[in-house]
Amino acid sequence: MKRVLFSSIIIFLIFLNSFCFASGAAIRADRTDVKTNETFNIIVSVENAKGSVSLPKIDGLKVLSSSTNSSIRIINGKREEKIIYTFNVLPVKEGKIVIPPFEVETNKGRFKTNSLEINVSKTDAGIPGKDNFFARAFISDSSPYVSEAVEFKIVIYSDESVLKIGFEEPGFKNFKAERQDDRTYSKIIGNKTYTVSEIVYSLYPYIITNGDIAPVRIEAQTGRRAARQNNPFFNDPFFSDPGFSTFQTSKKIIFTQALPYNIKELPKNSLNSFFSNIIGRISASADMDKKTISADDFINYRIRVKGIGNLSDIKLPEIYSTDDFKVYPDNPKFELKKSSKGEEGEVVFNYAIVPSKSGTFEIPALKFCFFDPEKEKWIDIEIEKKIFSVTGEIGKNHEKNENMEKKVIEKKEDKKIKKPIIRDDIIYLKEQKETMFSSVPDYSLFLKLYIATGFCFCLFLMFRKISPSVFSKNIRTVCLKKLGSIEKKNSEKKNIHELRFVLNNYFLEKYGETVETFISKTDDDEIKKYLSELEFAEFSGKNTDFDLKNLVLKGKNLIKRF
Amino acid sequence: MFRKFFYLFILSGFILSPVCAFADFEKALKFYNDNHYEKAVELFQAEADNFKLTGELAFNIGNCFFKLEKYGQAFQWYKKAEKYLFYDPDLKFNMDVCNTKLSVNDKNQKFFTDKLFFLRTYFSEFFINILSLVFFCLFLFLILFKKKFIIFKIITGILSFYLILSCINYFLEYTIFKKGVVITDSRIYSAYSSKSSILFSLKEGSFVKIYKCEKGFCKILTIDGKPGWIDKSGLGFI
Repeated sequence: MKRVLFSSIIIFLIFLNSFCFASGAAIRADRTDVKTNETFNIIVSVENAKGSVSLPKIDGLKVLSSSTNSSIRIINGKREEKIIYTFNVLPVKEGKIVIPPFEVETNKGRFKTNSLEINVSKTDAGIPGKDNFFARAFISDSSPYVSEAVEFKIVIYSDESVLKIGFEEPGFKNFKAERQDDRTYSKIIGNKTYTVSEIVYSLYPYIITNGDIAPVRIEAQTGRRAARQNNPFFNDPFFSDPGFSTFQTSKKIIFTQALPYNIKELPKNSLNSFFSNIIGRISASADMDKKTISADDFINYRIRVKGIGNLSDIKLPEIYSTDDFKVYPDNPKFELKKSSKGEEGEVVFNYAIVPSKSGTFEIPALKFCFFDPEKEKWIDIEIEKKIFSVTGEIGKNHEKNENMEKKVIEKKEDKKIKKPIIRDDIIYLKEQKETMFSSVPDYSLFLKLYIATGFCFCLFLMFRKISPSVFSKNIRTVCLKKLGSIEKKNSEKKNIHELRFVLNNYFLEKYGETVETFISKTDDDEIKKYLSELEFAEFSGKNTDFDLKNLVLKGKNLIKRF
Repeated sequence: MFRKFFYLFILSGFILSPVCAFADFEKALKFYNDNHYEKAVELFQAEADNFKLTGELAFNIGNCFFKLEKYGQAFQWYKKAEKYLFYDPDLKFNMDVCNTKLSVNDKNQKFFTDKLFFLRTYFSEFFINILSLVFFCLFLFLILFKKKFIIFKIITGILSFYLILSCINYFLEYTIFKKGVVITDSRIYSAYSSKSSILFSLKEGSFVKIYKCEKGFCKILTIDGKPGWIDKSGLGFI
């Protein structure tokens, strides 16, 4: 009796325990003031009950991921069970977002959560000295002339809590963009030390227009150590050691400010000289390696253009060959380095001047212009004419060329000058008016041929599907041919195997049945007899105790008949 | 009797028409030999207009322009000839000489589509069309064999697909994506007017893509991706 009483008290206490602790559900957020495109966590905790929780659809919030965590604690004999559902969400809209109370279904009934308000503000580029991660964008000149080089720079500041940074490569509409080498250094702002990453682009505007360089989206993964919140046991200072804390990561997205620009057109060019395509500042000089040469020699004429601007676009006016000398230009050599104002350095144009006769001649003066965006005016550059004299007599043409090529090779070794290609005349006319395939193809004809081929192919496929018997004729021919080759062989059992194989193959291909199955369905005794003869020859008797020719002949008749 | 004369007249018309054309071609050759290049060009061009443009005619016209020291136009006609002639050493040589005169490096003068569909450098367009049709037929034929010739099927499939794409690209170059050569040193404007601002200048012999033509100007795109408008008289279509 005592034992029964004791057990019932224990059971009562256990039930009492479970009834005493109220079950319920609550919702909270790890922070209520957030920015657009910055993730945060919504935490739903269910106490002393088990169930499934899913967040209702809320306008302006996007659920990225979810996780579950459960804990049981017993304090002074009191047992508490808690299940925590964590939802990682991304606000996509500015303003106040209200998460209304919603029902959580558990094994102990339905519980209503509390409501939650989240304030979502616009993402900005971050505040220096306060935020752990911010960025700025700069343009060296917001109103450049067309083709004038400008520097665009994205500067990203991040402290030690930023684990990873990624950014969307900006699309520069109306600009030709070249990315330069990135720079990284440290900087102290306020009391914080930031790692500064500079991403630099050289931009060359090519259309006269205005607009904005769109904000650049920069994404960072930040991490921080947090104490174990759920269990008060860990609130002791002993557990503030990093070894006992959890590591929480979050994603943060910021945008740089939009940068307005106004691409100006070049002012009217009042100068009549050749436009060298340069928007910048250049100077030019010319020199010759010698002023007097013998008739079999040549001169290296060099024009050096130094300066800053879009130097890789440079074009110089042509130096034309005359009756006195031929001009062979080489590809220009660029020795440039990129800077915020474009390319800086030197471009060297080399020409080989080959005299055609002796005398005193002049390389004509060259005049060209460029636009200086700082002074905002067109500037002319003139390279003075150069005079040189040729002594001696010109030899035969081929001899001259040979000698000259030799000299050019010697020069190449000395001064690294490229050998000019001496080609002056072209190959004679083609005396035939037309050869095979040498005219414009008639594309409409080819299109028709393609369509016709495709159409024929489709027709063929359809026909093959509708009447496959037409194409099975081939199998008959093939099998008869194989039987013909067996007929010539000796009466041996291995040839009987082959004969049966061919017959089986034929019936399988044509009727989808083996020769035995097919023949068993027919009432013809002669055929059945032939099959038994075949089996006898294959499995009993001696190796050569049958007439192969006769069997093959009957096999042929069988194929021809069916 | 009248009927006989009528038939004879018709027959002679058929026989003599190519003979006349041939005579023009012969005349043009003679003019070229006598250093009358302008007359030779006229006759060759008339021949191309009346008969049809062949690779040989384009080559000869290019030669005439070269002799007239109009290297930009010569380059334009050599480029045209390149479309129709098989890998032709004469043409290649003349183009090289022309490029030297123009101080142009032809190897750099290629758009992405030219590099991708490079077959025209080695074969004529006509031949590529025939080749694509042959491979297409071969591919369809091989498809008929189930579970056989799988490697051949894949190879012919890929080849026929590439060749058909090449042919489509070549066809589109005649209709939508036209190309051209700058035949005289030209200024490139921001709009279709010589009063608009100058963006940059292009040298004779520069290879460009042509988008559209309006009011005597053509909108072009250079090899290095710069757009602009050029006076139509300074541009030769390929």
